[in-house]
Amino acid sequence: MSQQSVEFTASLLKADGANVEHSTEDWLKSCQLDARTHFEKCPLPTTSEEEWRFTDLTGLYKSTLTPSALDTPIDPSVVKSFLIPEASSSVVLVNGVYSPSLSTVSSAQTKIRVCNLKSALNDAQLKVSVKRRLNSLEGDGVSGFCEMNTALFKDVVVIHADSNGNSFETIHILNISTGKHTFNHPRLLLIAEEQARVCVLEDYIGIGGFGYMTNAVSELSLAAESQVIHVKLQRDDDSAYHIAHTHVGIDKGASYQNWSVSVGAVVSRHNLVTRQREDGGHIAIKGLALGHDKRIVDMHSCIEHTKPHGQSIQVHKTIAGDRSKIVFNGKVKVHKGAQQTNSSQQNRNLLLSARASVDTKPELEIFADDVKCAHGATVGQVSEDELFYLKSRGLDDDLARNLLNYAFAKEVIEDLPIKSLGAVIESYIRDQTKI
Amino acid sequence: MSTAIDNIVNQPYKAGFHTEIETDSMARGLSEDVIRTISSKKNEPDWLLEFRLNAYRHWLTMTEPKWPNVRYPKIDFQDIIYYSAPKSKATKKSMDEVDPELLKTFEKLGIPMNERAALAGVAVDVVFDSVSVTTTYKEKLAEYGIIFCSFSEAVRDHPDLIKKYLGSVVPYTDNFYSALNSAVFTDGSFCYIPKGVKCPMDLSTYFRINTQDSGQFERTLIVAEEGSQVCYLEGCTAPQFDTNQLHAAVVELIAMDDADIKYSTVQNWYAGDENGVGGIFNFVTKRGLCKGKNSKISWTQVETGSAVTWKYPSCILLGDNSVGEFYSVALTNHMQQADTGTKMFHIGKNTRSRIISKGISAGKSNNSYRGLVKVSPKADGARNYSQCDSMLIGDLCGANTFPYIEVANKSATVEHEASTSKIGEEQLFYFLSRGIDSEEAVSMIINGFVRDVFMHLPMEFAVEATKLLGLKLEGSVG
Repeated sequence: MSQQSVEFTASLLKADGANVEHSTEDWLKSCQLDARTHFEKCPLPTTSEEEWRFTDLTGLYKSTLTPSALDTPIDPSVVKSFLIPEASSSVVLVNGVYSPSLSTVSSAQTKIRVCNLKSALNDAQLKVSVKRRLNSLEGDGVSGFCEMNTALFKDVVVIHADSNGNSFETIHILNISTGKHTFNHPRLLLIAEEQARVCVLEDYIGIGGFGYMTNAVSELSLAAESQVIHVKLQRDDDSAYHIAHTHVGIDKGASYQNWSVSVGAVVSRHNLVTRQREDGGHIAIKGLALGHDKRIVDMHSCIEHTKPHGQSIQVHKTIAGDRSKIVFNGKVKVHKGAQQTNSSQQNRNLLLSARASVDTKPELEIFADDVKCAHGATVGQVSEDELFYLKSRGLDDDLARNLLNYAFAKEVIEDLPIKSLGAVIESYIRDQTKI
Repeated sequence: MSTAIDNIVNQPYKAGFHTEIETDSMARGLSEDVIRTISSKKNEPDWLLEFRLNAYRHWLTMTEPKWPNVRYPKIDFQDIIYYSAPKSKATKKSMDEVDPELLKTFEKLGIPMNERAALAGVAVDVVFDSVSVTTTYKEKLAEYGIIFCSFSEAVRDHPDLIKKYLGSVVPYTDNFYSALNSAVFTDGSFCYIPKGVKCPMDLSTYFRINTQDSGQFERTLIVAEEGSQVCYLEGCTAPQFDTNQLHAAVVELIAMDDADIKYSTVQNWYAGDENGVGGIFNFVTKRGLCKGKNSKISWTQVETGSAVTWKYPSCILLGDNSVGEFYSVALTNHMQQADTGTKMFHIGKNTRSRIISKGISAGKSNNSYRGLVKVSPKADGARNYSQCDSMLIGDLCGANTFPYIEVANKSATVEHEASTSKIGEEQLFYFLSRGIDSEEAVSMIINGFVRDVFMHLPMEFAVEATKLLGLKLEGSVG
């Protein structure tokens, strides 16, 4: 651990000062204090740690960050341009804090509750669930940044879904950062009860912000036979640091579908951990990362098959252009006794520029014998034959390449259930993969 | 089916015997004095002593690597005898002069030496503990200008070559165990193939660890000059002991323009009993440098022994159009642990590498593949293909894959695939229905599984390795 990381850790704790206005709850207070003590002892990771070897955060550690202002005015029309028509509820967080004026939470649907931590704690029934599920992070993929979020979060978006028939309701959570060299710690807690169905879009943008750090933690708990679609779109400002941890717990027969798209920030890191809590369960993870300019995009996923009959399928595609660096670490762990696991993973990387680089490590750790596991990883460039085919039909070199890059990335988002979002992501692909 | 699996798994170690020979051992422990003593006993020149001392001083500043996926008790480096040589040391002109006990040992292992060597067409440089006892075929090889001798002889007779190449591929600063080896290595093999020479026979070294608690620190150096070709075989067996023995060898290969080195290993050292008591710690640094254009280095290994294996034969593909290959079968059983794989560094243009790794885990063992494919920014047109397959026998063992792929050149093409499987009931049923009993069926399935690797072994080794796998897994599936 470097001196810089230690100093940065201390400065963040100092800058934050007084904390948690809503901590009337003792358990919550002690949970935040514990995290704080723990976080003080183990500072943030550096490249000397195996898990963070390729993600150089020196730039972040060198900067001096202050807490975000809590009452930044934002033009509602700007916010509106980012909202998606499919969403029945839109939750807008400004610098990690719920903004009631910008959010529209549908009250017609009683099966799905969307609220902030304060209102959740005022509801006796919801409080029990929140208390049970909040901060249940464990195992691989937990880092100092998680502890930091737990210690310093100002609010939590709570989504509680009860069984609601066959319809998928879409909830858009828009995290807006506005500060210059500030930090914020958005937190999401999603609890899907038995047979519930819900689609959540976790969206990160910067409006007027610069050099800020978003340190997000999302916890999702899927009860038996529930179905959750979770889309995470990271389109933070190009100067921002985006660190995110997603932890998913999966009960019997539940299905978790994830799309993780990274098209912003100067350094971004996403730790995605899914863990089977019971027999069975289906996990599908699709990832897309675009490397542009000097960006570092890092995705660390860990699929933990702890119980029998689990299924997982993962596709992660990246395009590295300019001087960008793409990192992927895809771990699949099959624990003792997790028989009949069926897991496949595919990682494909496209290198566009001579100065871009890709570091990938698909890992398999298997401790059960009756399983089917496979992974594949490739690093390469656009095929000359395909290029020739397009050129022979009159496309110039740049356009042909752009089209092939686009097609390569498109596969990931083709079956994205939020159609309007598909178009948004497509425009990012077109912009950021130009030669 | 489990009884037959158990039987194969529980096959006792067949090469486990201990030869009583008077040995000249030094006191336990490591210090500058010990290194000076080793050096003076071997009448080494000053520059080599200097090399050893520098390595030792550097070693003192290092710590043992913690990253491998293996667990073992802490090694007390002061509790190891760093030098032991059979006492009867006068130069021998014929096999009759060799200690008969020693010959018996070789006989039990079925090593072709002397006449048998001639029949088998293999020149054997036998390393018994640390000092080469006899070297055969030297004259015949000398006709071609090939130097194949023990490391100590090479230091005496060809100091310029040793000075030039020693530590040039694996510097003593490389890692903890290579530093230790550089400080205390006692002997090993040296091989030099001059320009344009195709080595007329496969060169082979058999290693045996004999004296209890004597760590073995071999040093192998192979230099293949422009346009030359050599095939080198290395095989290991060790008698059964209860205390863990450390083996930290260093192998360096250098291939000049158009040279071709093929290095094959069959490793079957004592793996400890079924409760993990005893067994060899095998911490080896093997690296080949494809220095010249169109050079090629190929590693083939069959790892079936040792309690703990930590070994990554690597290729540095420096010359344009150079080729690196790695074919490996790693079998672990009982409480064995293996963390093995390869590293391919693509530096030159149009360099190619190919990795085929097959891991078989049985019992309570843990088998990891750890590989690195690194393409540097200047390695235009680099190409890699990796395939790592694992097979699990029983539900108490583990199989892991940790492939690191680091690419910094856009014209590179890197592919990696891995799969894990078990011997399916359906496959066994298919064999049974055709009158093949389950044990033979399993052996056939496993032979099919490792075929891609075994076909790269020299003929004699392939036969030996097939037998070895059979022995190791006898009765393990049923």
